[in-house]
Amino acid sequence: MSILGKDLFDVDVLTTDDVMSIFQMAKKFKESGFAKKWMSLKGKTICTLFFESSTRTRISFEIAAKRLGSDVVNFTASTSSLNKGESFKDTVKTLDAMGIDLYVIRHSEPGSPMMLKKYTQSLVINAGDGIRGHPTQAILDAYTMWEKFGKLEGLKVTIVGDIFHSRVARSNVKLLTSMGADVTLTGPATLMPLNVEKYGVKVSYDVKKAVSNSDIVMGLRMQLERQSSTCFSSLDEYNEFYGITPEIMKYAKPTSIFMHPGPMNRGVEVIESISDSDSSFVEEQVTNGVFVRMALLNQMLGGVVE
Amino acid sequence: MIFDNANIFDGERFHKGSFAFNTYFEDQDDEKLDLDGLWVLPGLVDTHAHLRDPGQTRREDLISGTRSAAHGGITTVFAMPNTTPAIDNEAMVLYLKEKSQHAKVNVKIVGAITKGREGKELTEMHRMARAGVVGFSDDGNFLSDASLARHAMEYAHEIGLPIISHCQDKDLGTGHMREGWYSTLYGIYAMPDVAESIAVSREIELSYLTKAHVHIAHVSTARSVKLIRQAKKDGINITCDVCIHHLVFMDEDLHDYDTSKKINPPFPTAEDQVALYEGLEDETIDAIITDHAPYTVEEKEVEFQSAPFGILGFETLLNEILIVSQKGIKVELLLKKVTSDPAKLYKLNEGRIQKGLPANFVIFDPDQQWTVSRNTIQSKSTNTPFLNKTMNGKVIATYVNGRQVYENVESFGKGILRFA
Repeated sequence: MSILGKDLFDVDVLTTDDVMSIFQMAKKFKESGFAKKWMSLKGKTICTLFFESSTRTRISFEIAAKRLGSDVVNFTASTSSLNKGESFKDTVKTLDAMGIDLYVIRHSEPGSPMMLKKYTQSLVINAGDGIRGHPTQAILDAYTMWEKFGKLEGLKVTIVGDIFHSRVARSNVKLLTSMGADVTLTGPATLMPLNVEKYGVKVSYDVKKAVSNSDIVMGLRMQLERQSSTCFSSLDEYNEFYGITPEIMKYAKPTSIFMHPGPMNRGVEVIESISDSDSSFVEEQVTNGVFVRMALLNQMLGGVVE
Repeated sequence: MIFDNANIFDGERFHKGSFAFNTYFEDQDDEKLDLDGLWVLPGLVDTHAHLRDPGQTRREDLISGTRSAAHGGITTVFAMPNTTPAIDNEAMVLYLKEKSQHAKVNVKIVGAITKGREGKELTEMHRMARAGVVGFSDDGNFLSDASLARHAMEYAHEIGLPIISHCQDKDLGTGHMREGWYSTLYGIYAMPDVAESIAVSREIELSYLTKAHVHIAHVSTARSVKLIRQAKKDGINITCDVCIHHLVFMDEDLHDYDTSKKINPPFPTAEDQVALYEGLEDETIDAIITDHAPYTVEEKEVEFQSAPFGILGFETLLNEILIVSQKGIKVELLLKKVTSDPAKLYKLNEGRIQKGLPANFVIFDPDQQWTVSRNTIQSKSTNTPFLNKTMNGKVIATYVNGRQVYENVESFGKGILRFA
C-alpha cells in the first residue's frame, strides 16, 4: 500500500510494485462483481472537479467512490461559479473549506492538478490535464491488457492516431514502457509530438507496418476541438490512410485486441466493423475502469477491505 | 568620499585600489570608508525593460520600477513602449521624460515603430527622435508586414537610431514554451526554435537592404546566434542581446508549471543555452538585458497557459550573473555586457568608471546573501522564480550622478553611507 497518502499526478509516480498491487486489488473487486458494495471509505468525501466536459471518467469515479461507501460531490464548470468569473484558485479554496478528502480533477490546462495541490492538503488524482496526462486511463488500459494476456512484459502495443493531442497516449506510453511493453506510435507526422521517441518508443508513419504483429491496437479519438486547421486535410482521407479497418487489423496478430479510450468518432479513426467486433475490448475497458479506480481510491485513502 | 580597498571593475576588468568621487568631479570630502574588497562597478545599463507606465501601474510605475532598478545596481534603464497607450508619439515621450525627472535612475525611452504597436501605420519617428528616444521597437509585436518594416528601417537609418526587433514569426510563434522533448513531456503547447530564426533572417535581409542598424532583442536559439554571427561577418549592421534569465534557466525547469518562469521568448533548450554562451564569448552577442516585466499576483496566479509572459529582472541581475559565471563564463565578460558594452552599443556616455563620465556606480558585496521576498523586492510585483530563495551577492549602494539612490542599511549601518 505504498500509494497511501500520495497524489496521482501522472503514472510516473508509480513503481512497478504499486501498479501490480493496484491490479491485484482491482481483480479482487472485479471478482466480487458490481453487486457487492464495500464500505471501506465510509465517512470519506470525494470531490470530482471537472473543468472540462466528460461523461465516462466522471461517472466511473463516482460509481467507484460510491461502491466503497464514500460520499461524492460533483463540481462541473458549466454549473459552477466559474461562469461568474471566479478564478480556479478561489473555486478550489471554497471547496477546500468544506472538508474534502480527495479531489479528482479534470482540466484543459497541463499542470492543473499540481496547481490544485498548492491550495489543498487533500489528495489529488489527475483525471486528465490538457494534453499532458491521464493516469487512471493508462492504468485501466494496462490492467485490461494484463487481464487478457496475463502479462505486460514483451507485449507489442501500437497506438494509432492523434498522438499529439492525446493525454491518454502520453500516460500510456510512460506506463507501458516502464512495465516492459514494446510500444509503437503511428499516425500522421502533423499529429506526432516532437522528440517523442525519447519515451523509448518506436515511431512509424505507416500504419500497416506499425500494426504488424501487434498484440494490441489502440485507437485514439481525433480531437477535432483541439486541432488547428492545418493538421490534416480531410477526415475522409484521414480514415483511408490512418483509420483502423479490418484490413489493417489483419496485420496484427490473430489473437490481437482493439482498444480505444473513448469516445469514438466512428467512421473517422475506426470503422464500425472493428469497434463492434469480438476483438474489441472497448466496453471491457469501461468496466475495468470502475474496478481500477476503486482500487486506486481505496489504496490512496487507506481503506481496509477483507 | 574615498572608498579604500575596493575591487574596481572599470567596464573591462577588475583592479584593486582606492576609489573616490573625485574620479568624476572635484570633491573636497576626504572621509574614508574601507570597502575590504567589495566590488565597485559602473552603474549597470539595462537596455530592455517594461516600466508599465502609463496605464499599467498596478504592475509597476516609473518610481517603483526605477527604485527596483536602483536596488539591482542599474543606473540606466530603457523603457519599452508597450504601455497603455503605447509610447508612439512625441507628446508621450516628452511626458515620460518629464515624469522620469523624479525617477530614482536614468530612464531612456524606446518609441514604437507603428501607431498603437498595431503593425499598420508608421509613427512620427522623426518627432519622437527629436524628443529623445534611443531607438524604435514594437516590442512583443513582430512586424509581420515586411514592406512596412523596410520603411521603418529606412527612416531609422536616416535618423541614426536602431530598430529593436523582437523576432518571432506570428504564425509559428504561438505556444507557451520552447518546442522539444520537454514540451512533449509537460504537455504544454510550444513554439519551435525557427519561429525566432525565421524572423531573424528577415531582419538580417532587410538590414542588408536598408543599411539600418537592426538590434535583435533577447536571442534565445542556436540558429539565431549562428545567423547573426554570419551576418556580422558579412558586414551587416546587426547587433543583439540576450536576456539574463535565458542564461540561467532552461525549458526543463518548467516542470513545476511555475508561471513566474513563463517568458517570451521561452527558456532555451540545453543545446540552445550552450550556443548563447558561445555567442557571448565570441562577442556575437553584444549585451545582456533583464527584460524586467512585472505582473500582478492576480495576473500570474492562474493556469500556466493562461498566464501572461514576463519575469522581473532588475533586482536579481547581478545574482544571476554570478550564477552564470559559475557555469564557466568569465565574470568580467558578463559584467562588461551589462555596463560598457550596452553603453557603447547605444552611444551612451556611461558604463565605465572613468573621469568625465557621470558618477554612476554600484558597491556590491559578492559574498553577502539576501532572501528575495515581498519585503525585500522594491518592484510592485513579485513574479520572479527566485521568490523566497536566498541569493548570493548583494548591492550595498547605488549612485546616480554622485547621488546615492539606494543603500543597504544592514551592511553599513545607517549614516555611514550618505549623500555625496
